[in-house]
Amino acid sequence: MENYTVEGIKSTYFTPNVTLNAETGECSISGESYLEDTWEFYRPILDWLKQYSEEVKKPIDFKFNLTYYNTSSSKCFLDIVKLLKDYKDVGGEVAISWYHPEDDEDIKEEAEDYKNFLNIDINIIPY
Amino acid sequence: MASKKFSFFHHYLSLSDEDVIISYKGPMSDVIINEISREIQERLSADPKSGKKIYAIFMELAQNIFFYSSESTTLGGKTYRIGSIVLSQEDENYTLTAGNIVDKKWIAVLWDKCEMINSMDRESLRKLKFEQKDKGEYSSDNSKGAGIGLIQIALTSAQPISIEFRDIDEHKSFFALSVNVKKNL
Repeated sequence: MENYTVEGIKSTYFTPNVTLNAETGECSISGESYLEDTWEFYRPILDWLKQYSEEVKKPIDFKFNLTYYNTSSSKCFLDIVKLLKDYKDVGGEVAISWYHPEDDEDIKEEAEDYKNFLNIDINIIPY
Repeated sequence: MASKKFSFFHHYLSLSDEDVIISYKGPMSDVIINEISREIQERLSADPKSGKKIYAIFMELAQNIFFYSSESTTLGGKTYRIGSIVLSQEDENYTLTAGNIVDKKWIAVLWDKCEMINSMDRESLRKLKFEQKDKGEYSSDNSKGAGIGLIQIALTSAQPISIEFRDIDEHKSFFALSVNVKKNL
């Protein structure tokens, strides 16, 4: 299975950096997320995770490290976390970390909500 | 066009009433949104925590106009939706106000939504935001997150949202939404 990467661009819209590594299972989304077509951007990421969890079946270590995102983007983050939870529920080894700027409680709360309402482990790390 | 005289003098006077930091009315293009958002970051850089909240709320309000305003104009072959956003300040708070024209059928929906949001405590709002994201689908055109955007605005500002409608004609109303963010958080 192929790796998937996107290099973040900050212009009129903000594309985050994306790394999905099929050999190591290390995945990350970082930077800022505000896109012209949010779903178009996140669909390949969800597809990749689905394929990985069905074919590769190795551990996944997913890191979110966002400094800004709009609400449409956060809808996709939830979709990603839900997919990871589904994988975990069928026996996949999943670790999720959510980094947030120390003084940004709004970003921290986003992860707390996924954690509490989905009942999944998320390591929430201020920096 | 002569019948639609715009009084710049009245506009000027009304904006002078309070300390206006940024005021824009016109086509809400992605380029304009980007320019204003950078201006906000720059102007509020000395107050970073409140400034970031204002920035995040501005982005949601601007995107609401970008997707949902029912007034539009065509420039260079592209259609842009029209709206207005004003950022002002007084001693304790910054205020962001966004206004645009909406079809009257949305008045009841927006009104009920804001009443509900204002009546809820933070924990319930977080739960509601989660539930709406959880069940939301991306397939239909009206689900770019407007409802969730309002909840997020209330959570980010941590203060009530106020809204106002003024009838324009039998089908359209002017809709304004205003929200405060405390300074120096």
